[in-house]
Amino acid sequence: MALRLTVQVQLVLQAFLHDPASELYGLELSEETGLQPGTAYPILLRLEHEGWVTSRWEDINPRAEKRPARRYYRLTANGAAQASARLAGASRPSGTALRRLAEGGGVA
Amino acid sequence: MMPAVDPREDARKRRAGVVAVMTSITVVAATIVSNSRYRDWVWVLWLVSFTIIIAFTTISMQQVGPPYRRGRGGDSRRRRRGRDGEVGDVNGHVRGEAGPAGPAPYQWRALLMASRLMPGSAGRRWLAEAESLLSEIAPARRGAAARSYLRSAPRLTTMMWVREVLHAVARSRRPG
Repeated sequence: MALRLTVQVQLVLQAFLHDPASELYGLELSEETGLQPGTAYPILLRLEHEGWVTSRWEDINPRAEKRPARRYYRLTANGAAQASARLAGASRPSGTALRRLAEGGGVA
Repeated sequence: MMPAVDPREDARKRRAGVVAVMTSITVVAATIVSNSRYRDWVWVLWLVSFTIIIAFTTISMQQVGPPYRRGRGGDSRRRRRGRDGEVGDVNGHVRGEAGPAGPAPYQWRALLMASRLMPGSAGRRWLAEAESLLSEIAPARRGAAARSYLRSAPRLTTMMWVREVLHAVARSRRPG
């Protein structure tokens, strides 16, 4: 089934496309998109299942760092190409849509 | 230098103290009842007392909180299934270690329960990611973030189980 390009999905893809080679972790992505983490996670899962992004656990010693490991996400080459093409064809989320999203609790 | 106080040891001592007091009260009450005209009912007193003591001990040993804030006696299922065969939980935390503040205990309990409704590995990953994010997010936003995880959990659980069933069906249809 083709990925539905909702406003939230568009925000996540735009965050990745700022620098397609960079890796983002949940909190970073949430801050960049303004989406609540609980909203961003299912989107990341769907993108991963579609093969648009890959993920990996950060390789750290949680005891030494005094924090849990992060899960990093990165666009795949195919994902970057698909995302660019789909976003170019999609209508940009309007200010009203983003405001509604913020008022509905979708935005942190 | 002062020796570090182990919170697990402290909790164990307090628990032992409460159990000792409850047992003493039971013995005194049983002695009184045995010497009264209700002596035939003393077994009821023992039964009720031991039920209360066992329930108290079991519940107080189930400490709630993210693994990096939890002492011994936490969630053994998650510990056993830690990633990469490490001793610790899915994030490699070792029991009882100090760490950053995470979600409130009641939110942690809800997240834990929600993760257990999801298919095994997917649930563990969801919980580990939630734990990771909630430990780093600004305290003022932590509650809202935890609630957002919990709000999305039912839909996510359904999505994961549907995917799991579809995979199982596809596997069973594969020849050989």
